[in-house]
Amino acid sequence: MAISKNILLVEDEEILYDIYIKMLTERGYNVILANNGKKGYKILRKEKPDLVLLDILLPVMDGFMFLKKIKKDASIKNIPVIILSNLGQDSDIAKGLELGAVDYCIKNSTSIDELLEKIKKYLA
Amino acid sequence: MKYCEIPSDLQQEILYHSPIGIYTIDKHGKVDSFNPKMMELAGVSDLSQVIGLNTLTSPSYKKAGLVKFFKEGLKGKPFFADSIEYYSYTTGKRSVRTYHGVPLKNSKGRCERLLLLVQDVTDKEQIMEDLRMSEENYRTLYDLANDGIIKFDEQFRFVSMNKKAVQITGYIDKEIKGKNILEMGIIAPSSLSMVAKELKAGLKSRVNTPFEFEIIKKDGRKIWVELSCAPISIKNKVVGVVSIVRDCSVRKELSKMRAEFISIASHQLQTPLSAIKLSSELFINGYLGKLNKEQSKYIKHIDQSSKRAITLVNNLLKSSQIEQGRIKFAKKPVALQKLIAEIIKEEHFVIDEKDIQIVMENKVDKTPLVNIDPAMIRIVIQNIISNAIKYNKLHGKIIITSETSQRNVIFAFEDTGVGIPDDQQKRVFTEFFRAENVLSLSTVGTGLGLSIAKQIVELSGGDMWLDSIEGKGTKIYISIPKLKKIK
Repeated sequence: MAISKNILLVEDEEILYDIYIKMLTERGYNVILANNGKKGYKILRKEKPDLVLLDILLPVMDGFMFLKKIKKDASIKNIPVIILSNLGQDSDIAKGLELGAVDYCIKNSTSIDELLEKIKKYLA
Repeated sequence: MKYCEIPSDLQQEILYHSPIGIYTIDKHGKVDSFNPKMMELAGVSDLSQVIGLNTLTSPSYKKAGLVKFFKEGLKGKPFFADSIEYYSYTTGKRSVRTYHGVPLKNSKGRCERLLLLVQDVTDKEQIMEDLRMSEENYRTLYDLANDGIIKFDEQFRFVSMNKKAVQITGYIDKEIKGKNILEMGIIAPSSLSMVAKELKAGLKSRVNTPFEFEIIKKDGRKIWVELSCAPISIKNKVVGVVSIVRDCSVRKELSKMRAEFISIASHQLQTPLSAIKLSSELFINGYLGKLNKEQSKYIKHIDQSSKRAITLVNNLLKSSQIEQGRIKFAKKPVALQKLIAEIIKEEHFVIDEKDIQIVMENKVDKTPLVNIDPAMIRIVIQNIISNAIKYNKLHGKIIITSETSQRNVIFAFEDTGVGIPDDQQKRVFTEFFRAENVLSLSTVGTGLGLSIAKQIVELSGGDMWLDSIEGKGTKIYISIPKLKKIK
């Protein structure tokens, strides 16, 4: 059996991370949670997970800043980051992708299945 | 002084035809001649009725205050009496007259008779009175009006303003009289070119829609005003512009607050709605174990309701962002027909479910490119097509046609649905509007789609309108500027 992939989930809303953790662990992923951007960045550098699910509106350090920081760090800059946010303006999406995210999912309009498909794709 | 001699027979003619009443009195005040115009003024038909009448003792003359003039006249002093109110001694009828008294002297210089030239100015007096009333009415309106009224000359220099305009601008009449509104710094620089354009249009046409701009009051504060104007013409020549100005800062501020409130409320609703939607998906997708039939039914209700609420919140947010001008339009050449085909493909589930036939006219394929933000026009077309499906009947039709004018491309989407009642068609493009005849159907809708669509089309320089017959269907038109050919 293949080794489980590690996913870093950076999300501050308990009610939401609870759901994402349930859905990911059910599919056999290991989930590491960070409830703010700064913690997320620390964990990212230490654990070097296979993929990051990143919210934008976060305490301490927001998602955009998080992306800027990892872009500068060669050891982690190739880890795929999927933005998972309800900020849905075109300008937000453009900014996220420009800062190096591989995809941008809007929480309200992306179903669990769609999100899992994307995760699978970027982990392949 | 030399006068031209008038032959005596001609003198008679002149007296006979004169439009001025002419008569004479002797030194005792008794009438001794009377011309026909004077007879008409006096209301008499026979000379015997007036010849010999003593004007100095007549009650009518006394009442009119003429006696003292006549006495003076008979002493040799010419007079002019204005605005004499005269009540006829035969009929009692009131008239307003002017009297010229000319003493006629003998060779010894003594006054023998008095010549009287009389004009009836009753009508003129009435006109003047009416004019005074009208001026008075206008003054009162002008001063009491709750809107500012400003007059400009044809060079847009201030001519006058009323009290309210003084209150709005902070300037008093004298300070800005003669100054050019476009040059004196009262208009915020960002609004200047627009105001210049609108005022010029105001010189030409009486039908101008009000426009809004920012002014800088005398105390330096900036406020928003709404102004409408119309030309003032004298003998077909435009001599200036009269404008009505309103302080609309409160309305502007409220609308900003409203948009901000919608924006904050919508953002705050996003997370709980995501949680509801995702949780129900966990159930539906079996992550939380197998559900029985009944549980599954109600979870689906939660799921569907959360999706509806999400659509509503997203639409509200989009609408307020568009209204606040926070969405930038990135215009590009777009083939609308391709976009329409794509959207129809995406909607095929619902189209098939209702067995709706989509008819696209052949020439639609050859429609020229338009210049528009593709993401924005996608929202518009999605809304139109989704409505055409939603409110269509089973086995209905959607007919898509296009026309090209010199500047625009016009697409029309005609459905065979429930239609919109006549009296409600005007409100179709306003926020939260849903026609009464669809409220009774179970069809879901937020009442925001078409309002957003129209805002987008208008902000793209186009227009959107409709034809509809209740019970037969609706035809929605959008007109979008054509892409200009690069020479």
